[in-house]
Amino acid sequence: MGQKDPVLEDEVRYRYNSVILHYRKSFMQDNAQRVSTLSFELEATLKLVRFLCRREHAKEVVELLMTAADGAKSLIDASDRLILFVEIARLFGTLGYQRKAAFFSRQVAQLYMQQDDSLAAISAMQVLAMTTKAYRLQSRATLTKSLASSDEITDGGKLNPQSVVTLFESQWSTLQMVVLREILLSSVRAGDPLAAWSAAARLLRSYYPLITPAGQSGLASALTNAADRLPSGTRSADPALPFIRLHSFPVHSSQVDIVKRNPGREEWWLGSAPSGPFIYTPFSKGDPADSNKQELIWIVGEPVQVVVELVNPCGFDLTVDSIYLSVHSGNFDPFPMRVSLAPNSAKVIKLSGMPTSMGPVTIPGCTVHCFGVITEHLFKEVDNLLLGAAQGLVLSDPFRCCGSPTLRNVTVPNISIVPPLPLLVSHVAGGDGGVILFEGEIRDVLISLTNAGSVPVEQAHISLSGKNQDSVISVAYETLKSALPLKPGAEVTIPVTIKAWQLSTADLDSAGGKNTTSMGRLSKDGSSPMLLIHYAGPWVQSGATDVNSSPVPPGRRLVVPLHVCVLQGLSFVKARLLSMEIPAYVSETLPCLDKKSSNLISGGKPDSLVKIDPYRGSWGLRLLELELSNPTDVVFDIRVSVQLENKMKEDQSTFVVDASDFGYPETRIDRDYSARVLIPLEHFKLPILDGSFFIKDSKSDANQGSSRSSSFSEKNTKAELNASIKNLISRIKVKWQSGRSSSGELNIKDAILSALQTSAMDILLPDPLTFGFKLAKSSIPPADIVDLPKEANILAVPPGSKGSILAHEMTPFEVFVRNNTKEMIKMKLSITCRDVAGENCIDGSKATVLWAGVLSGISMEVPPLQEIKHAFSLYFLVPGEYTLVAAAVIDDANDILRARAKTNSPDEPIFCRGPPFHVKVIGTA
Amino acid sequence: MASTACFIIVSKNDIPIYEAEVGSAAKKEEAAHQHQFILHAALDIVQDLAWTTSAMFLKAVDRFNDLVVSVYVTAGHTRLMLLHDSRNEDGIKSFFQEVHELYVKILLNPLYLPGSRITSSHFDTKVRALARKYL
Repeated sequence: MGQKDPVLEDEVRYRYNSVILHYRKSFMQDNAQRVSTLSFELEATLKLVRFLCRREHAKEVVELLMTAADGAKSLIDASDRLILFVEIARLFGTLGYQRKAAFFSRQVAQLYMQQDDSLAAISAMQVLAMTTKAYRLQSRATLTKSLASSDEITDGGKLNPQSVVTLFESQWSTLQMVVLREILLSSVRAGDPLAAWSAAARLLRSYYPLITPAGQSGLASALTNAADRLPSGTRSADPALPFIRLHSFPVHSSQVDIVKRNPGREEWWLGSAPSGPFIYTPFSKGDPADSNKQELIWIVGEPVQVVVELVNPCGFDLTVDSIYLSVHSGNFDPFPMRVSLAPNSAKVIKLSGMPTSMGPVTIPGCTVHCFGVITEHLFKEVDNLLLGAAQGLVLSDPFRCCGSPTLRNVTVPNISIVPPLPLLVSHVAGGDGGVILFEGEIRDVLISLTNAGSVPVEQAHISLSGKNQDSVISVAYETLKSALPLKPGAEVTIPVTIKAWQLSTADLDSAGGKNTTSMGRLSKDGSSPMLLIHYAGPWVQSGATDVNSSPVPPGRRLVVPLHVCVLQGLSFVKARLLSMEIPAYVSETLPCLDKKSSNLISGGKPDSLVKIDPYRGSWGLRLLELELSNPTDVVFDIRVSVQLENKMKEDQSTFVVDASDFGYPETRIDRDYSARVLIPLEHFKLPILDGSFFIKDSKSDANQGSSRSSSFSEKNTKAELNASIKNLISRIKVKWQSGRSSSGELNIKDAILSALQTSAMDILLPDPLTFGFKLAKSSIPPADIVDLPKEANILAVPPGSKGSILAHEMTPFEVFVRNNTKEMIKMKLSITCRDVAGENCIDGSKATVLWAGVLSGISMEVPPLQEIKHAFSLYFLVPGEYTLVAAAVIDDANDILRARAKTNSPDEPIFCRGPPFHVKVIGTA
Repeated sequence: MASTACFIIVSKNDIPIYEAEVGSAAKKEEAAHQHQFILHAALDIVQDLAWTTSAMFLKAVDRFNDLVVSVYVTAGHTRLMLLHDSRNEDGIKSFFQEVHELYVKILLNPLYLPGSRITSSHFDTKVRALARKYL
């Protein structure tokens, strides 16, 4: 317009004012009925305002317009008033007084509405539509810019209270409701169903707390009526009900287990996943507040779910015809679903969909088909609403008033879709339920893996995780490896051998309280081991043209929990070490010394472990007695087996003799009973008493006397000894069987260990000297003895008494002394013979046995690892049972012998006593 | 006492934070809406007028039909607006000053978020008592 001339302006103003004054003067009350000068005055005023209508004259313009508005009262014709108000509204609008303009526009609309005419109603509707900006009621269709600006405010997550307030600027709810209602009325009357729908929707959504339930139902029917007149599939920019907020992104297990593959590393699975029970460590990088930065990976072709919460705060039943996730990126196929919501109720639903192609995905909200119209509900709007409600700026929080718990603000994570990956699905053959095993039970579990994806599995690796990992005895890695590549749809079955672990005492205590009811519970406490199967497809995507540009598709991890429910099985009560001295009978053969169990095998005769053959010489037998009780309601059969290591030089094949093959009977333990099982320990003696067992550095200590020998030997050999004990224990197997299918092994390591701890040395280490008696060849031909028992009793020898000796005969004997050490032993051997009463019957006045040869103080030198024979003869005067015992006093004992004998003083003589041998003498006295 | 009066406090963000119909006239819902529309429209004028004077009390700034809008602008640009039909200017001024004091007390409450709705019933009672006294 250019610069105004103030002089000219004043002149114009002056003229107008004088004209207005003239009109006003000529207004006469009696004349008013005929012709009123008012309209002329108003016209002049408006013209003056139009001339002055600029910001610098705002005050004057406002004054003039208010005068003009006052004049409206005096106008008789409603249409005149309408024109006047239109003009005033327009002028206020020109001045920039939007609210004033809106006010007069609404007056115009009311005047239009007073006319009973659909055209007038359309005008009213259009005029009201212009007021929406001032009243901040715009439909979302016209509101794109302001939304964009509000984005910037809300993005920060946490808002400054002041900026929260600005979000809810002009909450003139009364005005807004009135205007919306007028828009609704006018649009209904004007026959614009979409506008009516939109107005009703906004009214219902924004002001439901101020509307009575009857009014809410009225609005609902208005929505339905409007929708009836709309073509189906109509979209509206303004959402109605329900309120929808994001609840959570449930992470599917397969999504958790996506593992990035590093093309540079062959074994990409190592360290890729937390293998311990702590998935979340406090030392992980980044603070938890960064959780909105989390990322989700979705996979093409694998359905995903998003949980949203719907709420209907109104007093009528709401039926959502379909609701689905609205995704604009076009690479996601949402699945619609139908929901109905009772009055004042909330519902959490899972919306699912299928990613269709690679790329990022954003989920701004949901698309809802409700009240016959399709609308989009944005999560952000509800978030803002809730934010305002939290600050007391909004009328009501729809979620809280429906009793839904407060949620923290859920942010949409960054979601990206990756190309299809193989997907292994596992199931346990014979049912996915937990396997119920007794403690120590061994069972094969078949796990079948199926590739449910569309890409072959080309790499796979199995590892163990979780608790009780050592209960998995074997996993058939090779079966899986050989099945690769696993084509889509293909299946492979992997046998896994599980040995049920021991229940801890805490478990037992809790189980003991309520014995029967808690059986199922024991498996739920996460004590089962897990198989972690890392697998991946090919390194290069089949469709990818450029190898370098496309990232390596990630691998995946499948967690197969081996659901094992361990029941308390046989329980161990106590272990005791028993030692027995069972005298052997003297026969023509030397009793087999335990260290060289040659005849045990080469003899071909099954050697039972416990059944004692008196002629074999099972002296110094040590047994481990285990007391077991059976608290279960099934029967257990126990078998003890000892694996014997036979390093026989002649026989190159290593023997592993299972003692159970030797006819050792099974011990059956009935339910609620206890039983004892004996484990023989005699075959564990080492062949040589070696210094290495006691000391490594014996030489340095040798001159300092043997007082310290025992202490240092204990220290130094602790580890070695423990290793031997462990070796010993590992060879003892207590197996049980219950019913047809259950069998297992009893874990008695700790029990044995504690029982053996004190006397392990005695069991493991041989005596320095072993003694044996034997009849000299000349007495009775051995063949006769062996064959006799079955035939007629020619020699009056009772059956089974082979090697018996007749009284009144000179019987030659031989005594053998074997040196088990690596050094020459000098000693004095003496032999005694006692009768059943234990009286020495060689010496003394009442000697009943005569002898020939030397029986006491025989000086001998036994070379290392050799045996020495000494012959003598006895003449028994009285038949009966006699006992022969050989003993020796070792001269110049070295440290090893002392340590073995557990003596401290260097002067104390070391005394070795052999086991007693029985001699049965028959005949008449 | 005036036959019709509507008192409203508008925060600086143009949000009504307190509303009260203090007139003795029979309450009609339609009229109440009309009052709010008039007061809302008057904000445009107040917006310009407030910067032309140093006085807080702006006297009658707007009118529609027989109703007059008187406005008092605080230093924080919170507007106390009274819609009335009487011409008792001194009473209105005293009323505004007293209400301003009450409003300052509300602002001093650390639990009150400036710019949010005033929900104190104590404030409401006091305002209505003041209206009876001065209008």
